Amino acid sequence: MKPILTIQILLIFILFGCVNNDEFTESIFIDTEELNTDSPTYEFDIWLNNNFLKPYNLSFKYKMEDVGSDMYYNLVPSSIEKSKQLAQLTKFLWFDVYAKMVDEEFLKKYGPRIIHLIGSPAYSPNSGTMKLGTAEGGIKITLFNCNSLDYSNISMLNEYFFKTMHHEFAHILHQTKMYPKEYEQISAGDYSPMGWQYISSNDAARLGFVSSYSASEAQEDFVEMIANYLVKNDSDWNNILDSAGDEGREKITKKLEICSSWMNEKWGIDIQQMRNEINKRQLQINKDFFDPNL
Amino acid sequence: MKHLPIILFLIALVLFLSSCNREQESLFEQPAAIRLNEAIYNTDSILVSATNGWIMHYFATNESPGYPILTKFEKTGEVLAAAKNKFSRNKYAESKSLFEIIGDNGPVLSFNSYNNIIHAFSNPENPAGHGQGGDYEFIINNISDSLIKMSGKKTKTSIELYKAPENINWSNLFEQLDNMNNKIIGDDVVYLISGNDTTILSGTNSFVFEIEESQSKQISYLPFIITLNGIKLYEPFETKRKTYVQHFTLSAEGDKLIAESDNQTYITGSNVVDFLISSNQLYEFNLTQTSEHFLSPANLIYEQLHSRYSGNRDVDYLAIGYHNGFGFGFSISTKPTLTIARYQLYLLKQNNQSIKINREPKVFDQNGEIFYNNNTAIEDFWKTLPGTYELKTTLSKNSVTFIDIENELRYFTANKKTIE
Repeated sequence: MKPILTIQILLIFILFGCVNNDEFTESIFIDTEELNTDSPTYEFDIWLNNNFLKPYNLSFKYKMEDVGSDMYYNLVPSSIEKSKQLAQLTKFLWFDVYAKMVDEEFLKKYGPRIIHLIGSPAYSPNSGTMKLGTAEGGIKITLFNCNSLDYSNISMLNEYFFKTMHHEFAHILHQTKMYPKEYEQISAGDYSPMGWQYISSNDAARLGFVSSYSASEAQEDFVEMIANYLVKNDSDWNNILDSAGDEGREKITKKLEICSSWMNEKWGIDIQQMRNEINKRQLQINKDFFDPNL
Repeated sequence: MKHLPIILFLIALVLFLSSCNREQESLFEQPAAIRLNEAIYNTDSILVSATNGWIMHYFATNESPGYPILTKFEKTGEVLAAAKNKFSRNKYAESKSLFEIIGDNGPVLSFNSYNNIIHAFSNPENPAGHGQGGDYEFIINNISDSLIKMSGKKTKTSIELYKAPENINWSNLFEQLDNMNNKIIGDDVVYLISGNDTTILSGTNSFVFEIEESQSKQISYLPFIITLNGIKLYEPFETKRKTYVQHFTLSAEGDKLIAESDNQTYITGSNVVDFLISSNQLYEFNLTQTSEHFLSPANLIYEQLHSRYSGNRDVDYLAIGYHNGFGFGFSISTKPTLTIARYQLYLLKQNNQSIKINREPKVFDQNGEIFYNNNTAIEDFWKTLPGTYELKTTLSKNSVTFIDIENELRYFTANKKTIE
């Protein structure tokens, strides 16, 4: 028997072996263990199933899994109370917004499959920075610092969570459909991958960046532009423009135009309308917003 | 060369037979996954079986002090933790969260939702990124109904869970630990005696003994934790007599910690007489553990000052010991306006157990003179103090009892005062 024939026969066996075993289920998480009815988090787990797992095929992991986090960092889990709040806020300020402004299929198709909550920030003591979130391959978004969540402080909510969510999701979007190269030319030469943390927000604005982190590299600049524009109200956005000076304002405006066109042309999203919707919803967050039965 | 095919055949035969013999029976009856599931189930069952929970001996790192934490695991997946330490501002505190036994290379106890008590040691704050450097996931190394031995998943630090006694509530248990702490912690330098060998242990008050190697002067660290009986060292310590000691029980007198595995090895403090003479420490009279001989004149001082100042200035406490700028003596502190009046005494060592107190009449400071001239009880109390006393104290020297060697029913007790 010639070796090539042997390999062909072997391949047939392997392929048949694969085909026979896999029957795809509705959700990639559907076969996970049954919920414990005695668990103190049973109601919350049901809520997560009904609002994230079933409709969006998304596992909302609030019990920390260190194998699912970066072992480089010293981290602690999110508290149950803060996890419940953040889950409800995530649905209302992110998933429901896309369902309403685009369609219900959008996040089913492009949304992450896992959201993993971490209680503490991810500090990098050597660089003096801390991570607020990470996105991994369009599949998983990790949100840090959840134990500091204060729903009465919208600016803080945006800075630590919702800006991070939109930031990470924008990464998923541009990894799916690339943004125009001309965006990267606007601030070419001003990016500082190793020194962005030393640039104040005012100096960043004067260079045409909406945040210090925007100055790290073009991709971060692009998603920071979208995230900041979506979560900031007119007053906060205008503050950035006011501190930018003429040159910085011109760059920021130009960048926003590109983002806006890209969102519209590639994704059918009117960024202005989505921003209005987010801003309107943010004003509805108070202590009565949260379901006391969870 | 004509034998070569036979030789090759024999070599091949040997290799063939030995390769056949390589098959061996499995060491385990069950596959690894099933054994892991059984280990997880077993661990969970034992954890929840302790009706009054477990006392966790928590060390963030192998150079960090040990902290007792009480934990009660429920079938529902909840865990209640309690502590009384600097992270709970030295007050008894409880926190409820979730736990899970997860499968890694073996069963791992994971505290996977935030718990104020347990995660205080792994929270990466102060300093940012590091915190206390502790773990919150623990590999189960050894498990029984009364003791679970674990190691931190990241730090490999040894953590042990001891089944808590059944008939005591948790806050009382922490009171017992506090009492034990008060008898042990106080005198920073103590001595590990093992047969004829003595090792100086400093750092007692930080719960991490420091041992200086005599030749190299290199310092090694030996953390310990307060237990219901005494202390437990983070890991066994090898004495010069080649014995290993880890658990120590406080003696009935409270002045020694005796190794449970070697009664020739114990930890003791410096001589109390020498300590008192050289100390700059102040001790407050404990009037609940003082004989009538001293109690009556002491109470009279309280009454006379109260009457003299119509309740606007009362005695806060009476103290004996070293006073900055004055020397040894007894003092009266008042409240709400703080005034300290001092009256001189002298100490004279009699032997290793006893001390003589003398006084020089009418040697006092300015406040002392004012109070003295207006309150006759001060002279009565002052002149009662001289005498020869046997000293009794615990390892910590936080409390010293002076017993008159001529009349053991004549005694007074004084407790260490942290702020003058």
